[in-house]
Amino acid sequence: MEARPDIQVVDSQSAALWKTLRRALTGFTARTLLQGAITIWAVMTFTFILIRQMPSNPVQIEAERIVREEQLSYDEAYSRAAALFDFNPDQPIIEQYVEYLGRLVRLDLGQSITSAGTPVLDQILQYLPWTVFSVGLGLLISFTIGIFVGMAMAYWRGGILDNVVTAIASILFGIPNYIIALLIILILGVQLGLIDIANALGRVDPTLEPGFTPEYILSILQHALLPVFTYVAATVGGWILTMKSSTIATLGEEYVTAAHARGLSQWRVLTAYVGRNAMLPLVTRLAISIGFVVGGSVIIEDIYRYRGLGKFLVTAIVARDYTSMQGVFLVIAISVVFANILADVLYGALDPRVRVGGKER
Amino acid sequence: MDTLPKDVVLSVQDISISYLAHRGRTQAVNRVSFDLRKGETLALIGESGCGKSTLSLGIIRLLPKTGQIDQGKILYASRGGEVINLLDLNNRQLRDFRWAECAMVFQAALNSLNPVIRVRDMVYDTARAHGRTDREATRKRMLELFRRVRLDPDRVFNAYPHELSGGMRQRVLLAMGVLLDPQVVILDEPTTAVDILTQRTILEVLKELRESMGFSIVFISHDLSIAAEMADTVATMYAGEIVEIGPVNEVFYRARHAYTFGLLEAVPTLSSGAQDLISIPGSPPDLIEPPTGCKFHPRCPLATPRCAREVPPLVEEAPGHKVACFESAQVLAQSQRLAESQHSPAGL
Repeated sequence: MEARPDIQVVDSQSAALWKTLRRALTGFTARTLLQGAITIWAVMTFTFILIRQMPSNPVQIEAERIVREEQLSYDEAYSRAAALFDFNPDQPIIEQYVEYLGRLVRLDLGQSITSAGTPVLDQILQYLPWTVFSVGLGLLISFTIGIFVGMAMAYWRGGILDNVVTAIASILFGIPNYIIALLIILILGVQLGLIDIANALGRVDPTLEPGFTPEYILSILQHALLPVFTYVAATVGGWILTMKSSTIATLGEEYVTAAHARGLSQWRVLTAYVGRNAMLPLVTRLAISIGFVVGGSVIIEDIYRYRGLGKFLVTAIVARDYTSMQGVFLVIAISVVFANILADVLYGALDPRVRVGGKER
Repeated sequence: MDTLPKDVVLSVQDISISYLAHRGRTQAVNRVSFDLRKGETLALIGESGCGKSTLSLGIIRLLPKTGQIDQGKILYASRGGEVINLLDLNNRQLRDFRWAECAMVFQAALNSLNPVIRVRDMVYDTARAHGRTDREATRKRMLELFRRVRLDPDRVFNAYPHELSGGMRQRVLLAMGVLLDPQVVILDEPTTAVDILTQRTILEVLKELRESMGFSIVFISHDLSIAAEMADTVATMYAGEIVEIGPVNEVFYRARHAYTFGLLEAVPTLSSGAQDLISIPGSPPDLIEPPTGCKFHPRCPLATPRCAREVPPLVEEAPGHKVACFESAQVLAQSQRLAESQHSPAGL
């Protein structure tokens, strides 16, 4: 017991933070993981059945294409298309399911149906980083702006900043992201000619050699500009308004007045007393948004010809490429489940009142 | 340069505080004056909304943005004997003043502690804000104070607020209040939200602290029995004004203001039955358009036409006993009868 005082003195902020995080993690048990696994399995099964209920199948779609392009009879085209793909539409769905599940437990997502010989996992790994980069960057920027602007507005409530930004944020909050994307192309690109649309679309200048060269990285950033801006514009209003109302509620709390009464500096009160409490409701929302990073970009990527996972999914749906679709849905399900676990862990670390499982001291 | 009598530590002089509301200005505190001597306990009593809490927030200059101090001075004598007007201080000086010179324990103990950080972090924050960077010294002093308010020091020091009971939190606030050895401690209804036994403990540790540390107390309460037990001086506030102020026994045994008398009559005692209790009819007045004359006259059983016309001045009718009431002689006669009938009205 006598050693305690010394430990206390050394006990720096970072050590305290680490202890807090570790305690939060102890609440994260095998049960959480099992629940997550069951959720993922259920989503997988549902999507497996549902996508096969869509009209037509990969072979028919390909057969129709052949009929259109080569003037063959449908039966001829069908047998050619069937020979092209390693996929038998007449196989009973339950057999397909068992086969798929068998491969899945070996972490094999199968081969793409329409581009035979390409593993779905490879495809996903090729597209996923671009989506995570663009949507993730957008989310990060949006969240950061929202936190700071929202807090500032609450602090100077009723001022010019508050009134102007509240109006803008409410409008942005009400417009869907694809409308914003179309408006950007129409107004900035076509009407005003401020952006060279032909060069802005896509995810990188295709003539450049991939690598860690300044030109290549610059090109990536340039091409990400429009989608990232769109994600930010579509979501920042929500973050700002939520943070504003949350901060206003916190500013009225007695412990904030009490902190001022103790002579604490404005900065300390703003960060540790107002900010930390006001952010609590936003953490859950942030984690959920992280889960939708993967899935929330389908239309935007299509509009900007940004070949990320969303664009890949659209292509797969059009061609009825079951295995590819299945793979993308699986990735989405996994990320949502993990984001929820992350939300629990984060919330526990930030708010001692909701820590579960872990013993107190 | 302002001066103060030698033993006065805090002097509120002619202070008016108003809030800006949609309907107009609310005069929450109107020309209030009092002196607080070293080691003295002053109880401010009155109904909810009479301006007690506004006055105390005004003293530490923590009024909400809509509130402002319209006139007056708040003089404070530092330990070095220097007299400062708190209304002249800039933000930096105010931060230094708060807690180190004048601490305040808020009404809602449950909400006065930041729920997401530990008690020790709030303690360290407070000490660091006042330049006391020696964490070990701060810790030792805090643990000692926790011991004195009868808390388990180590457990409480490392606890989060939600792990403590209401009574414990109130004592944590008390102990934190005297951490920096202030000369004045403002207690805003410190026993409102706790049960009667916890209330006893709190009052006892408060008396012990006061005795050993010698700070002055401004004690805000609507509970007359607690005021009688704790205070040296009692001030009755009505509609933002001090209507009666004097030594505790003077005010409770020889009340001279009809409102104070009404409050005394409304206090239950063990010997009296519920039928003996008399409440004050009506409700506190509208502070945006207050009644003319004496603000209490619409509710006062002794009111005369003069009360509605003229504002009674605060005059000293007995040594140290000031009252603002035209009918103080009648009230005095009544309260002496009440004192006789109840034997010990102040020991309620």
